Amino acid sequence: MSKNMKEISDEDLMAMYQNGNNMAFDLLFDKYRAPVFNFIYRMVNGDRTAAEDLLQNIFLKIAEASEYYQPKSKFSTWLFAIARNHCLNFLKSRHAIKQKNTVSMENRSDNTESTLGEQLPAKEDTGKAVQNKEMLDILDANISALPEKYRELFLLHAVEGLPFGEIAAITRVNAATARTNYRRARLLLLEKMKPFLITEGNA
Amino acid sequence: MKKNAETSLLRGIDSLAGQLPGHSPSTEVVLRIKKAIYKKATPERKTEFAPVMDMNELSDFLRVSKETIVEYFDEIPSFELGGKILFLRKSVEKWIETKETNFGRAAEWANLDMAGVDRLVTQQIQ
Repeated sequence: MSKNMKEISDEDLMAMYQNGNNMAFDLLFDKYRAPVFNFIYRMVNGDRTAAEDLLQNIFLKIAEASEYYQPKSKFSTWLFAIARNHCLNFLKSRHAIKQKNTVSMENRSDNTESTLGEQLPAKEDTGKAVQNKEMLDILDANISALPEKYRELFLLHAVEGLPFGEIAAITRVNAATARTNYRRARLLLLEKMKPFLITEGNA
Repeated sequence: MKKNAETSLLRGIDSLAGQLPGHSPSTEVVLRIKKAIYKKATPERKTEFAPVMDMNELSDFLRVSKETIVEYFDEIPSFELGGKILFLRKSVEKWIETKETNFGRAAEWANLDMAGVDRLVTQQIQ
């Protein structure tokens, strides 16, 4: 991809796609497949097959609905809103099928290990890195156990790094509510992780 | 717990969250999705149509499947040339207009005053 191609805004790429340029959509897919997958993967509690199917459906939906896309709203907002809706619908139907489905901590770490690439390199010595990895696994498992409303907020802000204004548009609440839900999510996580964090801090 | 200690722990959670490993779809899945998108997007991407269209182009033009075209084939104006079935866009457009008047409610709505509109809406809700 040339440097110039990268500088074209998402909204321009969508306009190009609307005018029949399929490559523009390919670029959008390549740009967003990883962050969107990362979000949905954790939204569906590490169910890789489900996340992959959802990813496909989300981008097909985007392609299909592209003619209704208005550049007034940011492309990423629109994309994540569609991704979120797909996740919530999936969770709802899964919940209906299986009344209770919480992925155990053991399964979580299995899943984490089986993922491809993008693992952060350990910066410190091995001992610290392993400890850190354990902490991350614990955090991952606890995010997985959060109620959906808080899980999506935490993932969108702390993991995907989206600002509250955009998250508010994605989750259809106002920015203050988004912020409050995020704080609550963090407090819930803190409650679960306090014992581990305190030992860490003192070590 | 002291407020400060709690704040620093909350920050710890944020910083941990930033280090969570990223998950990405496998190459196989990425290719599968690209294929699906291409298959889906390509026929619908066409926005300009020639004055004469073949079956595929008509299906794009009307945004329906070829099966639907076949189903309505008797109704849709067409002509044959060199063993090929073709459609004159102008005639198809005219045909659509007749469909519109027959099935759409545009004409009905156009002749109504506001009270009539209210009545129609109430009917539809009930």
